[in-house]
Formats: sequence, C-alpha cells, structure tokens
Amino acid sequence: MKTEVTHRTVETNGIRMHLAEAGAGPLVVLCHGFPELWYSWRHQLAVLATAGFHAVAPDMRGYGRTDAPDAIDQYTLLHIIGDMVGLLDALDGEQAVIVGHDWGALVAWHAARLRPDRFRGVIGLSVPFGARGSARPTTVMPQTEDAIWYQLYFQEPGVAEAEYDRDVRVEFRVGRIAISGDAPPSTRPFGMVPRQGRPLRRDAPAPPLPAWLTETDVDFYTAEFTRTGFRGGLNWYRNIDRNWELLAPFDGLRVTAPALYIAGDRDPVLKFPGMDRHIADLGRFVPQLRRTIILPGCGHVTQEERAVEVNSAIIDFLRSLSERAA
Amino acid sequence: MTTEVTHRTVETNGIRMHLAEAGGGPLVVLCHGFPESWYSWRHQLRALADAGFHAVAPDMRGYGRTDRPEAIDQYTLLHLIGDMVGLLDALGANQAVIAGHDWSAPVAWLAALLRPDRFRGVIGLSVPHRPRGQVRPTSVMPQTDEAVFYQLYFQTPGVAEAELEQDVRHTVRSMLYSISGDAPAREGRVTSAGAVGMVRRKGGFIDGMISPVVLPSWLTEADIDFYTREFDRTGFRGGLNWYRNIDRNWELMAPFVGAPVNVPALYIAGDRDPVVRFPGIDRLIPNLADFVSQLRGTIMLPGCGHWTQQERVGEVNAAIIDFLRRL
Repeated sequence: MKTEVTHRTVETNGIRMHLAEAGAGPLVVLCHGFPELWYSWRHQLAVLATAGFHAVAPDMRGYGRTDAPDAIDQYTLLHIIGDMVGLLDALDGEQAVIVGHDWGALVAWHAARLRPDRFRGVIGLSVPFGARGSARPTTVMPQTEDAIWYQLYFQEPGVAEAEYDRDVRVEFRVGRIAISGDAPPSTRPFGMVPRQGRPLRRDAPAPPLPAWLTETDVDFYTAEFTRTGFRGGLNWYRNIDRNWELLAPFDGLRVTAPALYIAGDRDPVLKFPGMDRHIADLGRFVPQLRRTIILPGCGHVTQEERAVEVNSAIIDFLRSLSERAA
Repeated sequence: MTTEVTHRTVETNGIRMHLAEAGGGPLVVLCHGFPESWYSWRHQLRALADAGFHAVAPDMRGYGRTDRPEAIDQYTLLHLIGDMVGLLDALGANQAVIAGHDWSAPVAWLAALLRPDRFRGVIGLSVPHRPRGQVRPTSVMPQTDEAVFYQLYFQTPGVAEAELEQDVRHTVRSMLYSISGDAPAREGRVTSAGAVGMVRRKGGFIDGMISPVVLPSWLTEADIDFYTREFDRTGFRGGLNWYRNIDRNWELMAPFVGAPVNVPALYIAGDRDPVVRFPGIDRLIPNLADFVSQLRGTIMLPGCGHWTQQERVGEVNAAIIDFLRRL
C-alpha cells in the first residue's frame, strides 16, 4: 500500500492547484483554513491512506503553490467550491467526502449543500454550518470606539497584509499557539483588534513550543507565507458580504449529506457570539449530522493539535459511510 | 374565482419587487426577458387563473416598478434567482412552477437546477437550458472587423443605453416587430450586420431593424404605449446590466458544472426566433434532454418569432396549462 505523500499540480476551474496526496480508494478532500496550507493536514494524509482512502490536501486558492488570482472577487465561496468540484473532475473522482477546517469548513459545508451528488459526506472542523442571516454580515460584526472585529480589520486591502508581512514567523511561532488549547492566558478579548497602535499583538514573548508544533513546522509555514504573502487568504474575508449575496438562492436549503462536526472546547470560534446555541442546534440545518465531537482542552488548530483523535473520528465516519454504501 | 389582475409590491432579497398577479391555487411564476415587463405576460395571467392557478408576473430586478440597484454586479443570475426564491417566501409559497422567457429562461432553468425543492417544474421560452461551457462566454462570441455579437455590444456601460434611449418608442416598436415571426424573411439577418445577432461596429443595435407602419395582429398601439412609458421612465440600464454579468455568471456557476435540470420541464420556441439560430443553440435543442432529464416536450411553433407568449397566446397558454396539469 502506498503511504508515501506525493505532490502534483492539476488544472481546476481556471487555476493551477497544487496538492499533496496519499493512498488509493474512496476520495477524501481535505481543505485547510486561514492562514494555512496543505501542510495543515500532514498528520492525516498517510493515516487516511493506510486506512484505505485516497487522501488529497490541496493548497487552496490563494495559498502556497496554487494560483492566487489578483482580483478580490475571484475568492467567493462559489469560486472555491468550483475549485473543489473541478478537483474531483481532475482526479476522475465521481464523488468524494469533503473535510474542511476553519474557512475550509465553510467550503466543505457549502460544497456538500450545493452538490450532494458529488460530495457524499462532509466533516467540518472548528466552524459549524451556519444558516444565512437576514443582514449583510459585516454590518452586524462587533465594533466599539476602541476596537473592531478582526474580520472587519481584514476588509481593507493591504492593511492586514502589511501587518502580517512585518514578521511572518511570529504568526506561526506565536499567533497559532495563541488560538490553540495551549494558549497562555490573555487579557484581550478574542477577535477584537484595537483601532490604534499595533493591531495584531506581536509583543508577547514566544511561548514554549507545544507538543503538536515543531520548529520544522514553523519553518515550513514561515517559508511559504514569506514567499506568497497573506493576500490570497485575506481575500477570502473580503468576500464575506458578496458570499452572503450570492448564497441568497439557497436560503433554507439544508446540508443533506451525512456529516460530522469536530471542534476543541478551547477554540475561540466556539466563543463567537451565539455559537454555543448554534452548535447545540446544528442538527436542524444538518439533518444527517452523525455526531458532534467537542475535544476537551483542544483549541482552534484542531487536526494539528489532536491528530490521533481527529484521525480516528474521521476514519470512523468514513467507514460508516462505506458500510452503508455496501 | 379571481380573474382580475391585481398589483402589489413585495420585499425580496433586499429589493422591492412589483408584481402583477391573478387567481388562486398552485403558484406559477412568470419571468420576463429583455427589454420587457410583467406586461409581457398580460395574456397569460387570467388564462392561468381561470385554469386554477395563482399566476404571478413580477417586474424583474432592474425593470419597471421593481428596484434597480446601481452596481452592475447586483445583476448576476444568483441575485436574480435569489429574488425568485425570496418571492416564493414573500408569497408564502413553499413551491412554484417557474416559467421564463428570453433572459429569464436561464433564470428559470437555473432556479430549477439549484432549487428543485422550491421549483417543482420549469418552462423555458425561446432560450433552452445550456450546460456551462468550458470557456469564458464573451471570449467566444462572434466578432469580425465589421461587426460584433449584440451581447458584446451591450457590455460597455452607457453605449447601448444611449442608443436605445434616444427614441424609446422607436426602440420598442422596432424590437418587438423585427425579431417577431411577422418580420420579413431576411436570410437570418436580424440586426445591422450580416449574420444573426451581429451588430455593425459603426452602427447600433436598432439601426438595422424595422419600425413597422402597421403593427402585426398580436401587438397593439396600446402595447407599444405601455412599454414606451415604462422604459421612458426607467431607461434600459437595469436590463442591460444582466448582459454585463455573463462572464461573472459563468464563473459563479462553476460549482454546478455537469449538474442537470432534474425537475419536469417544457421548452417552447418559435421556429423563426433568431435565438434558435444562435451559435451553439441550434445544435443544443435536439439534445436538450441530455441536460434536462425530465424534459416533457419541445414545442417548436411554426412561423413564431422571438416574442413567444405574446405572438402565440392560444398555443402557449394551452401548452403551459397542459404541462401544469400533468405535474
């Protein structure tokens, strides 16, 4: 059995997409979040391959060695889901299970919702499926005189790019740990960026590396984002209102594919306003939700922090689908 | 039974939408094309009401007494389909059959493709369902040194507006006549250049058309007056903006590549409609069932031109009612 991770580039939806893959069998597509890479699934690829699946982790549009179109409007959820449908076509996969983390979770939920004929199952990590609200999203994000919600801070092209580019390494050596289960105590409310001064906190001393993160990992992310910058990933945020408009035809449409949701109980996403009730209610919008797994002590970086538990949950879910199909 | 046509305005998808309606019963939404109005369904509303249906013909986004957002990117097919889903919600209807003519045939076909749970049947007039192509649509539209396909001519904001708005009555009269089944045969020539749908680079969209002295039997001076009043007030920009999203629509529909229309469907067109001779569409019509799995029929009306439901009221109404009753 092939458990080596190999790399290639495919054409999909008008862009060139780099991917890492391992194994053979039913296709599983792994979609990373912000600011991440195929590498965020490094602990999943070989394990899923050994379990009998063809695991594929692309660099998503705007990231790593995949194309990063210039125009902001090329980063809508429909473009990105189009990339995933085209990826299945490029891999000759009639169907796949789609797994996504963070922003990639939104891609996965909506891909399964819009194309249940192509995505026969969906796993969301960190971010649950959310029904479309009645108001334009950026109009209801928190802001005070002193601080604004980070997704608002990301809206203005060039601003967050400059801040991240100032010290790429600090995001991966400090920033990632700060949203993990190993985060040191913080006095600042999560997600609010001060209007004055340094918006992203870079003054904190680097904490010791937790067990799930190595200097090699930090080096890899740092090298990739030093080369590409953060603009591609930030452009996803700049389509939040546009996505809301474009998804109007799907109001009320539920995610009908079998589904699994996994998150850490120390993930800041779970502290977003209203999220606790929303997670408790997820089965209303995802009627075939098989399980919600909340990992104690785990933060935002789900599949990197808790590779073993996440892998076994994914494999259990995948096998339950295969058994039903057989 | 209500057979009176009444009017109201509803909120849908962030805009205010004016609609004409008649009857009670299962909902049928009638979507007009370019450059038209709810009024293009004036001969259907009562007939469908009398047959036991709730017929609703909105002024589509950008037209008539419905809102006309400024920005061009507010006119994608997803906005237009979002309007229709929101219209069902506003009317308290879980489901509808959707009928669309001309530009709204793609609205109807794709609404049925995207939301088969809300649109239980679809009727396309003039324009058949087209599967998404491999390439950006405007990159393969015909153009020569002398002429461009009219959809390319419509791309630059302000150009076609200036021509069409110069004399609205002349525009309305010329368009309604020149691509109808009553226009003289011109060997496929419709607009100012030689081939179908081609516009001379040094001319315009209307300048090759004919404004008739005597109107054909299906069209009255009162009809011309109505359209003229509407477009005098609104201009043509809203409708033209639909064309300015052709490439954007193609991008946004990428997730749905290869997905067929799976609800029961009917296609109706006139054999003298220039649309059925557009590049690619001529070959598509005989194979439509490959992309529309429950196509119940393809009705080609002999001698009928582009304005299907206005030119052939009796046949179109009978075909629609027959289709509705079999669902």
